Amino acid sequence: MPLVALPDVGGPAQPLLSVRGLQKHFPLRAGFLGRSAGAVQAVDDVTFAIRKGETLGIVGESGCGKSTTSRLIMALMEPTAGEILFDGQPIGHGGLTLKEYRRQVQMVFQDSYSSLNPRLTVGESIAFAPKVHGLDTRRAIARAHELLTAVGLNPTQFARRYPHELSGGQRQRVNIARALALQPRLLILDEPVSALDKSVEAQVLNLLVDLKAQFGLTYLFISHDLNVVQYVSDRVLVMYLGRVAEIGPVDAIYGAAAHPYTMALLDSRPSMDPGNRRKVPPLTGDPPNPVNPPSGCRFRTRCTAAEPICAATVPPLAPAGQDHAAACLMVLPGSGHSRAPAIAA
Amino acid sequence: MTDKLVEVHDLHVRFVSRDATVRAVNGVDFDLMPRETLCILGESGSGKSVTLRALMRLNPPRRTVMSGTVRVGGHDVLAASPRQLADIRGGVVSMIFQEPATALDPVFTIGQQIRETILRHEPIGRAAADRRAQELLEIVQIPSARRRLDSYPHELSGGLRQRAMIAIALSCRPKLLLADEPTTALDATVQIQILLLLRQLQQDMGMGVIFVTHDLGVAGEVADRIAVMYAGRFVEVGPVASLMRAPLHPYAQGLLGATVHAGARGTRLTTIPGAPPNLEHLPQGCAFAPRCAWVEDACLSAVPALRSPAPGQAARCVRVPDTLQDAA
Amino acid sequence: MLLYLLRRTLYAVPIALAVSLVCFSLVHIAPGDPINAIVPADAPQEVVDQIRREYGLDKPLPVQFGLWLGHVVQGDLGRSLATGRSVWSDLSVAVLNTLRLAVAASLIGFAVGCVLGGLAGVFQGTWIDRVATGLAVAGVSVPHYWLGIVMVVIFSVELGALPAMGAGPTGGGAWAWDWAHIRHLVLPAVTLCVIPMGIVTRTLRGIIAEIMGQDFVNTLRGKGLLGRTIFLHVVKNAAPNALAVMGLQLGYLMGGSILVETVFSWPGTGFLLNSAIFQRDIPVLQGTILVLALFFVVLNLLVDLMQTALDPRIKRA
Repeated sequence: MPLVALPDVGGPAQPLLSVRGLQKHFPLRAGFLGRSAGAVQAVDDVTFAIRKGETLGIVGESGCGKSTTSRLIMALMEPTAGEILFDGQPIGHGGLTLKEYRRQVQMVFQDSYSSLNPRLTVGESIAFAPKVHGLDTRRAIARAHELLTAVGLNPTQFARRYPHELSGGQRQRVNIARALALQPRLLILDEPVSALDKSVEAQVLNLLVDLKAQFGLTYLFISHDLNVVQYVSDRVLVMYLGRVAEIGPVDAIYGAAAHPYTMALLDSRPSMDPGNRRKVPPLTGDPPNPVNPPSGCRFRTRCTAAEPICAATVPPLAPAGQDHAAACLMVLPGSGHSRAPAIAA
Repeated sequence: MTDKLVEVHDLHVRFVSRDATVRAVNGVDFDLMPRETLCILGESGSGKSVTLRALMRLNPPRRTVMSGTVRVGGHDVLAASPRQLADIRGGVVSMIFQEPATALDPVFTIGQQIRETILRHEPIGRAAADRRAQELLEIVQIPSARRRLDSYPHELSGGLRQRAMIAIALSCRPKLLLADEPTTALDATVQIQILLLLRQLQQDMGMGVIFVTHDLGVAGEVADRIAVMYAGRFVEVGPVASLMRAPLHPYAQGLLGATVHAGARGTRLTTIPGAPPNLEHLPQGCAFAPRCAWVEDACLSAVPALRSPAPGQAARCVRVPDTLQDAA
Repeated sequence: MLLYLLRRTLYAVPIALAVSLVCFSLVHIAPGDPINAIVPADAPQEVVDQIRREYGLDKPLPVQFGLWLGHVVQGDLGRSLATGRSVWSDLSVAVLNTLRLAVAASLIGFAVGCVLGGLAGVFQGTWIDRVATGLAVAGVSVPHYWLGIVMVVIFSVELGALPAMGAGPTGGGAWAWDWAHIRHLVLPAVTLCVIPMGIVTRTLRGIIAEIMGQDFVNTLRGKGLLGRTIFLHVVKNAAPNALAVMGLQLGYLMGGSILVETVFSWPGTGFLLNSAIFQRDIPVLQGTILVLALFFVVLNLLVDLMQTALDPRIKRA
C-alpha cells in the first residue's frame, strides 16, 4: 500500500492543532508511606491553536514547560487535564487512532545523535517508519533516497553511513528527513538547531524554510533562542513557568510586547552594538522551580510592576492588539491593577 | 609602560595518539594587558578551548605536546615545574567552565570547595577561609550565602552553580580569569546577569579576562578585543567595534552573516559552504581556502601571514592590505 | 533521614519472609517423600506413620510452614538427623568460623584489590594497568579449589610451613586469636581472597577511570590542588559504589566457601552444608541455608544505607 499524502479534513479556517486547557502535573512522593507531597506543575492551563501553513514559535526558559508541551502534543505522554484536537478531531477516545495521528505529526529533537539508532544506517533509519506503515522495502528505500536529496545530502554518499560518521549538522538533516518520511502535516521542532555551530545553524534554518514551502508543512518551532524564533516564526507564544504569558504575531511580540516577562526576555539578548551595552540586567535571580509556583500570576515575584492584586488573581489571556493577547493584569481592563486601562464605555 | 599580563608567542598544541596527530593549535600569538578583555571567537574544532587550557597547561598531560612561549603574570607556564604550575593555577590564573553541573565535585559542599582553594594558596586559617568563602558568595550575588555554603552542587540551579564556580575561581584573587563558554548552558535572562557580573568583578578586582565563546553577541557584550579562530589559528584580531561592524577576513564575514539577528527576518541567511578542515590533515595554504568565495592561487601555496591594515587590526588574508608592510 | 532508615529496614521484612518460605519449600520441592530421608525404605508402615506424625509431616503444608517459622523465630531450628544435636548449636559454631574466614579473606582481597584497582584506574592504558588487570583476570579465572590444593602442596607438604587442615591445633575446638590458630587461617584465607580481589580490582578500575574522566577533575587541577588532594576527591566519589561492591562480595564469601572449606577441612558453614548434603540431613540443610540467606538480606540492607549516607545525591526522603 503506497503512502499517500493525507487529506485536509477541516478546511483552511480550521486550526490544524488546537490545544485547550492543557495541564500536566507530575506528582511528588515523600514521607513514610510515599504520600503525595505536591506536584511539579510543568504545564498548567495552556490554550492555543496552530493554524494551517504557519510556523508557531514557542519561547521560554528552563522550567517553562515548552518541552513538556511538545511531548504532550506528540502524544508521548498523557495530559492530566485538557484536550488536544487535530484538524478538529480528538486523539483516541473515538477520534483519530494513535497510529493515524503519528502519521500526521512528527518531531525533530535537539540531540541529533541520540535521536538516531546507532546500529542502523542513515538510509535504514529513514526507511523504517514507511516500512512499519506498510510500504515494501524497495519503495521505502527509494523514498529514503528522495528525502536525503531533499535535505541536501547525496544519497549515494550518505545512505549507507552510520550516525557516528556524520557531523552534527548532517545528522540533524537526517532527522528532518526521517520526520518527513510519512508525509506529516505538522512538524514539531524541539530546539532543532541549539546544539549546532552558528554556520551550520544557518544552513539548517534555510533548509527548514525551503522544506516548509516545498511540502506545504506547518511548524511548531520551540527554542530558547529569541533571534532564531523571530527569524522562523509567523506567530510566537511566550511561556513562563508552565503558563502562557503572551501570544501574537511575531512583529507584535518583538516590537510591541505587552507582558513584562516578554519585555525582560527581549531585553536580555546581548546587544550586537558594543557602543550600546547593557548596564543592568532586566531580571534578577533564576527562573523559579515549577514545584509550588507562586499564587496568582506566576511572574509576580520577579516583576517590577507587581501589586497585591497580582497574587490574588490568575491573569487570563487578555487582548493586547490585533490577534495578540497577554496574560497580565496591566492589559486587562478593570482588573484592579493600577496600570490597567479603564473599561471601555 | 605597564607589563603585559599575558604573552603568547608561536603556540602550537598537538594531541598525539597511536592512530593520529591532531593539530589543534597552529601558531597563535597574542598579548593581553591587565584589565583588558579578549574574546576568542570560534566554532567547535577551532582550537579556542585548547588555547585557553594551554595557558594553564590544563590539556590532558599524556597526549598533549606543546611548543612556543606562554608567559602569564611573569611566569613561564610551559617551563614551570609541576609544583610551580600548581601554584600558578588558582593563584595567578583561574578558569571557569561551561557546564557547572559537571565541573563541580558532586560529593563536596560549595563551601568546602571554596575553602580548599583558599587554603591551598594562602596561609590563612580555616575560620578566615570560611569567612572569605561567605564574602565571595555575596560578591557573586548568591542569596542566603551563609546557608548556601553547606549546599551541594546538585541542590543549586544552573545560574547559582555558575556563580558558585565564579566564586571558587576568584577566591585567591587571580590576575587573569579564563572563561570557557561560561554562559552557553544558561538561560537568556541568567546569561545577561552573569555577563554583567563578570564585567563588574573584572573592574572591581582589576583582572585580565580571556573569554572563549561561539556567540558573536556575547563577545560584543564583554570584549575589548576579539580574536576569531579557525583551524587552530587566529584569522582576525581587532577591536570589538570595528570587527563587529566590518570584519576583514572572509570567515569572520561569513560568521557575521550567519548570525541570526533582528533584521534577518524574510531574508535568506548567508551560510558558509562546506565544513571545517580535518585537523589531522591540514592543507598547506590557508585553511579556509576550500570554503572561500575569493580564493586565489596565493592562498593555496602558503599560510597567509597576519596583515595589518590599521593599528590593532589584523587578518590572515592575502586580500587584506598591509599598511605597515606597504609603508616600509 | 531516620524515616528513610526505618522504611528501608521495614522493606527488608517481606524479603526475609519470602526467603524463609523458599528455604522451607526446598525440602518439599525436591523429588521424593521427605520421610524417606528419615526412615529406611523397608520400615513397617506403623513406624513410618508414627515418624510422620512426630515430625509433623502429616499436617497440611501451610501449617507446617507456620509451625516451622514459629520455631525459627524462637531460635529452634530443629535437631540434626545425623547427630541428634540441636541444629543451632552446630550452626552457630560453624557460622562464626566461616565469618572469621570470610572476613579475613575479604580484608586481604579488598586491600589488594583496592590498590591494584586504584593503580589501574589512575594509570589507565599504561603497563601498570595491564599488569593489574591481568592479575585480576587471573584471580577470577583460577578455580579456587585447585588453587587451594596447590597451596597445600607447596606450603604444607613441600615446605611444611603452614597446616593444611582444620581451624586450630585441636582440630575444631574453641577459637583464639593466637598464632597457633591464625596459622591455620592463612592458607584458606589467601585461597578464598583471589576472587573478590579480582572483582574489586576490575570494578574499582572502572569506577576510578570513569571519575578521572569527569569534568570536575579538570576543575580541581585548575585550582592548583596537589595530586594527593585530587586523589582524595576521587576516592570520596568512588566510595559509595566501591563499598557497595565490596559489601556484596562479603555476602557471597559467606555462602560460597563450600569448596575451599572442604579442601582445608575448615569447620564452617560450607563444610557443614557439604556433609549435610551427603547425609541428607534436612533440618541442618534448612537451617544453614536460612541463616546464610538472612545474613545476605541484612548485608544488602546495610550496603544500601551506607551508600545513601555517602552519596549526597541520593534522595533521603
